[in-house]
Amino acid sequence: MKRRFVVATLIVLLLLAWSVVLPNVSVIVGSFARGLDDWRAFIASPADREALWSTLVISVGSVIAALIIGLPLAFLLGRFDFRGRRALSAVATLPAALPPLVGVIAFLFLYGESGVITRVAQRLLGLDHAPWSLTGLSAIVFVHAYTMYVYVFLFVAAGLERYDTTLDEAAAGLGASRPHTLRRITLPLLTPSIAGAMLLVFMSSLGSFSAPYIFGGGQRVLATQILVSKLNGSMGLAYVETTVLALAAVAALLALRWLERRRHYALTGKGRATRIVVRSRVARMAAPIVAIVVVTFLVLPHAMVVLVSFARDGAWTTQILPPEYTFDNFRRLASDPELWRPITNSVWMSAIATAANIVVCFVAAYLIVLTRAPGRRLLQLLVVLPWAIPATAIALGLAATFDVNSPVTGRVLLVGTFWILPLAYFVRNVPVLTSAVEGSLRQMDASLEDAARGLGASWLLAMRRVVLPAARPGLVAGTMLAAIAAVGEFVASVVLYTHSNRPISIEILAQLRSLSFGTAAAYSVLLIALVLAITLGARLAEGRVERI
Amino acid sequence: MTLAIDKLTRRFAGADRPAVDDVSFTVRPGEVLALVGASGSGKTTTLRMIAGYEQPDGGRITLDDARTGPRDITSEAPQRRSFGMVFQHYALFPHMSVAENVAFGLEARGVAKRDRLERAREALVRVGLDGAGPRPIQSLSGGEQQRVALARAIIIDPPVLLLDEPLSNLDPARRQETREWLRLKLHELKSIAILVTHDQEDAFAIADRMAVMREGRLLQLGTPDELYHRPTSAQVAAFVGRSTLVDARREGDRACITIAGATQHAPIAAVSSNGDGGALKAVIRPEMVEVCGTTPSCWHGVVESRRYAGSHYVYRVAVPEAPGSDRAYTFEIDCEEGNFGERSDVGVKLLQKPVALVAR
Repeated sequence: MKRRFVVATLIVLLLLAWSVVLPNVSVIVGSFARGLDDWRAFIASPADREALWSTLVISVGSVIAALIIGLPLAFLLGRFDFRGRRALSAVATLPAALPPLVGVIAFLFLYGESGVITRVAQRLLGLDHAPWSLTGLSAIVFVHAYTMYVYVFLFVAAGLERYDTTLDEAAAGLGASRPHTLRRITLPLLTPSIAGAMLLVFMSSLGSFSAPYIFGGGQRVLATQILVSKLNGSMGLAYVETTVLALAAVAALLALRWLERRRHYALTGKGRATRIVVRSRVARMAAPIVAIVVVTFLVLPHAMVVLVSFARDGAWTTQILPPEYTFDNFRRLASDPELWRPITNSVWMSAIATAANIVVCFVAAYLIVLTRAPGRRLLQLLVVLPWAIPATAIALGLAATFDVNSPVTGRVLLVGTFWILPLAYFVRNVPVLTSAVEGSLRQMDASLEDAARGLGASWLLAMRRVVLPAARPGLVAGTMLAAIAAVGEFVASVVLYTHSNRPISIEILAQLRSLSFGTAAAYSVLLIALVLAITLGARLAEGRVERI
Repeated sequence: MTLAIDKLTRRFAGADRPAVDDVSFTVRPGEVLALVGASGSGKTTTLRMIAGYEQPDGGRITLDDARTGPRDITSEAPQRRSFGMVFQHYALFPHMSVAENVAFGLEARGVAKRDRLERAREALVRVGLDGAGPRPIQSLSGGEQQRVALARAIIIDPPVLLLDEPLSNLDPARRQETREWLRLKLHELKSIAILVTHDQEDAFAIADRMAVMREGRLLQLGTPDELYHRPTSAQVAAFVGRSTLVDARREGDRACITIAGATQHAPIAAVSSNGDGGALKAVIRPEMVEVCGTTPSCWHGVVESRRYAGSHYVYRVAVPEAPGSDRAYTFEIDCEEGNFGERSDVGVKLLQKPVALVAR
């Protein structure tokens, strides 16, 4: 075994042990700091029992809702050709471009008690009160369905792309009806994709913080309970809640991984991807109308945030749409350094975190895929660990670990400093970037590197000319996803921020609390702009790859 | 049972010519027909239209069943036609066992589990895979997978059995053996079988008749012997078997072939001209000529290469079109003896075997 691989593995392992494992251990240890007292308190507390129950209900509900929307949409766009398909597929992933908190706000503006749609419905029905209220479990599931069906859509669409359509043709040729083929052939073979998406939705819902926090309406969930306990100073209870949340997540991970493995078949996409042209006249008439309705529903939240960002703060009271428009919100952000600060904070912190992610995750993926370094199996486990643990739990773990000057943490005291947030973002994004690079490297023929070395290339040259180009698609995509997640991060930030390093998301929340909707929306628009800029940058980087 | 294809046409969006262009033919009861042609000739698209996976832009497909009489199936869904199909990559369902795969067509027809598994077992015996039922698909070799695919297709007693490149995924040794086996199996069945192949050897060995396609059009339909000895066009002559096309004249019932001033004669097997009395070419096959010394009456050329093929030698002889010309006809000639070395000057002598004349 090459010495340098062993050394590199050791360094990465230590780094991950310090940043990923240690915080979780601190939380578990912390939950037993007063013996079993905090656990007894948790079990005895009706609020906590309710929170655990509703967390599970929300998660299962979100999975079902995301499947109901995402599965048909993936099949519709992947298998059929109809008028309006291009428009629909262009916006199908739009909800994912909304940072979590921004999506929630947009829904508030649209469907909240004084939201646009709510008021329109109220006028149309001639009611003197709102026809619905955007609170409680159903509201949370509604928002989750909107933002998270994208996972199902993307996973299943990718599965369908690799899917060998001759299998369906074979079934049809043997006399199987469409439903029979779907039930016996297509869906069973897409199980890995569907299970992967279900897992992602379940995990995201489990740790979801923004939706319950903004319109929980007294609805307790574990993620918000953790923050409440921390603010109340009951750290022990917060640690118990965090441990329970993490255990639920790990249980879900194991269950769905099992399902995914059990049904894993190599799908070789040899068949041509023929789209069925919609022929029935009714369907042909209905398709564009349905497409327009769905596109409107998907675009509305984005449009709403942009609209409100030009609304004068305080002027929008009982009208359907904000009555007065102005550039003041943006002007104030740009001129007042205190108001501009969250933006520079977010940009810097996400840049630092993502840069660290690129280095560490690339090295980790390289060691896992292309070397036989001892300890790479452990490495593989550690890099997915943050994914299995809800962000609130990660944040609390970091808070528990780095606020005491102890030799175990390397005497690093981070809580209350600028650096705690970049560290949190880094930890949260380890899984996404590593797995993206892993994916790319696995597609590369491992003998390519050997071939390059065999032709006399130095290790560095082989790295630069063979390995890096092979890793680049995953590196670009992973970096994009990590940067987007970091720049709009809210869940870990709300646990760890201080006034001086507050990111955009926290400022949006603060503005919302003081009812400055226009300013909150203006921040949201800037955040969306940052996300778009990152996406565009990634597109350009990809373009360069293609030209080479 | 007769299958009639009438003026079938298919255009793909963005293509400059139709993938299948006005193709008509009739397949007789129990016949094994091969669609042959280079890739892009439209043979697979034709097969997919017959199966119902592809909708034609024009033309009709008619199935004439002794029981139900002729019926137009042009726009019938594949599941209603239920033509068994063996796909190029077999398209076996990876999440099912061998038996479940074979029984799938019966499952779709609502046959009870015990019955269909019993019939799947019988079907597996018929293809020589006794006892393979419980095995997972992944454990099969390429040849075994192909047999499972065939068993799966024939269990539903299809009126028409379709095979897309059935031998292309097998290694050469297996291919020979499977070719023989498939020929026997397809002729055992009472149904029509249509197979697509780019390999004329496969078509020769398996099919009763062959349809040669090129650029979406049907060039010629006939028995392998007809296509080889009496091609109706230069393209068919070039595609089927080895041949050299040489300018020729017709004098009564003899073909006169002149190269660089030297004329040789041969009897005529068939003539297919455009009817305009236009120029003809003779289709000269390797067994119609032999290599000899440079006598005045034969064509003079140079041995480009000589390859040993076990039972005989294969010469490639380049004969200049005119003395000193750069352009030359290249003849492939099978000879029992290899007396002439490479680069040596030789004569090419036309044996008195009937040659086909085609329009230039």
